[in-house]
Amino acid sequence: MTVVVQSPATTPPPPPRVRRSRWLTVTVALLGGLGLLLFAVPLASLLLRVPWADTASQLTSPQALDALRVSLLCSVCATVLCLVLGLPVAWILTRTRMPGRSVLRAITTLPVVLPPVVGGVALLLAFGREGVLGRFLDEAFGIRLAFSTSGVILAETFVAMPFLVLTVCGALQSADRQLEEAARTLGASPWTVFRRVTLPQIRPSLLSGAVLCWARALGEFGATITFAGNLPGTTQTLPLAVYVALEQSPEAAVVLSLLLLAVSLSILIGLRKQWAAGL
Amino acid sequence: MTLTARMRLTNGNFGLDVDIEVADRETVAVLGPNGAGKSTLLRALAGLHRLGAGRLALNGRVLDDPAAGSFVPPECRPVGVVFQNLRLFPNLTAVDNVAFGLRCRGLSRREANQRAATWLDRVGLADRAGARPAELSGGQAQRIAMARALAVAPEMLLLDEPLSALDVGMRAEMRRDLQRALESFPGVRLVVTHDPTEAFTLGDRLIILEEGRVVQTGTPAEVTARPRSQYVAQFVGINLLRGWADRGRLTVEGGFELVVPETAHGEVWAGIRPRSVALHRTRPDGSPRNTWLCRIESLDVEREVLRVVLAGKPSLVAEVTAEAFADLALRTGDAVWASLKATEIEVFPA
Repeated sequence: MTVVVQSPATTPPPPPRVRRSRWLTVTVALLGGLGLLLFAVPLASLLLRVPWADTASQLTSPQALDALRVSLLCSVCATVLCLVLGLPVAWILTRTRMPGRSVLRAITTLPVVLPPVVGGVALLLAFGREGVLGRFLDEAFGIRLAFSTSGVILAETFVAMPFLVLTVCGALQSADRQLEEAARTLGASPWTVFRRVTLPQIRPSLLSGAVLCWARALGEFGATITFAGNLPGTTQTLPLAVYVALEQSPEAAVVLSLLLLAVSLSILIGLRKQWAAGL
Repeated sequence: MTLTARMRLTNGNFGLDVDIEVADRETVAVLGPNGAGKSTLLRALAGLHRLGAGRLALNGRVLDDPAAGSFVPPECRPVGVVFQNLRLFPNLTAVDNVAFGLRCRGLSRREANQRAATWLDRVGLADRAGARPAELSGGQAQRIAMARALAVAPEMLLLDEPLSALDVGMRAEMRRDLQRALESFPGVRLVVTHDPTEAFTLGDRLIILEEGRVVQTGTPAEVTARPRSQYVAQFVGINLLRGWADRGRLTVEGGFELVVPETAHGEVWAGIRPRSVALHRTRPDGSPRNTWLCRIESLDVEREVLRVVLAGKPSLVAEVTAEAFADLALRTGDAVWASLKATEIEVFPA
């Protein structure tokens, strides 16, 4: 059967007017080019100023080695802490019906947008010698977190944890709940379900979340210097060392910066599969 | 040894209110349209959904009784489930999928894998032990899911739309496998489906579910003869005969023959839509290949359509328009000639 549709209007609508503006193309190219230069020029300048001959000696100077040691120790510890504490937080946020979850989610996300120095001040007020918890810890156990290596770890955990929580929350939400149900009907306890069904599904996100955490912890500056100070060998991390070196020996600062740049670049390359999906 | 279930629960604005009893070695097919509450029923039996009220007991053991405050979580119920979308673990191989439940019961990896291998052998997939679900065909995945559910030796087997995931070509073969698997399972068997063919071929007894309530229960024959709702009337649009097909002739239980398409051979089901059975006052001649004399047993008006229950060889339900029936001027008890084209009979292996 053919259906005849009668058009009430006898004249067809005019075709869309295509106006190709050369100005638009030029403007976009110009602004875009400027934007790209903004990234490229500083990075290129850094590479150009690297004293390649002295690189090895600068990297092995006692001060650089100390900073490297503190940085690695603290960032790794902070990452482990983020995993141990962040995974349960993500679970609570996605899998329970606890009231006030949206508020909790906002609080855990806050450190991403909060100026790190504010985080440092908040940590001081909580765990400093005169802090709400800090005084208690000091008096009861003799634990002083501020201006100690543990303080660095705490500051780094504070700023890095949201990266793990957010990544894992997303993975837990998109994980197949039906598989978890199937596992339960087969006799799997909640813990077994998590270990054998949920964990394999969220493993890639857990891994990339941990790497992001580590990268954020490694680059941490503001909260660390505010809460833990800048004591060489104890709380002076690589970024702090770079900042200090800039005053005394700019060459050392450039070499340490190069090291941090190399680390960031390799993380970017290593995780490109996870991020490519979002592009 | 039975399942006794009084189930009352609400899920959003949907309510389920169902009483079910299933004996050992009995296959009950719960049939109903989408949204009738079939899945909720299955989930409640498996423990994935708590009852609001009622009582659920399997072989004397209480699984759920809100009034008494007792609830057995799914992992502690002796229940095997084959889900509609199978839900095989994608990261595990076929043998590890089957071994999953055994490992949960504390068996060592070696012993669990050994038993799982036996199950794979039993479902004819010993050579696919190392394959991951994505590498399995629909039928193979179905059999792995069945083996996984049976490997833990449950007392009750729940199947959710077991054939719907397969393409039509695979269904006849899988239906036979499924039937065999069900028959060899010694416990309570419950199939949930919206597909009448699946329900009629697999179920010893049917429970028709609509809007969370049981509208009819009975053997397939009972349900076919007297549909008690629009939904049942619609899907009962199939007369089922069982017989032996050979070169285009179907010998039906009861000792008469029908001319059928030559596609099938051996033990078969023959499905006949009531609409394809024509009625005549005198013996028709010409194209229809099957004609026989029968008696009008009863009449049932369904809107403008009359369902005519015919007694004869075979006894069938015919559907004619009220107008056509008026032209024939027939009444209950009258003799009438029925005719049926061979091509209108759908024959599939039993």
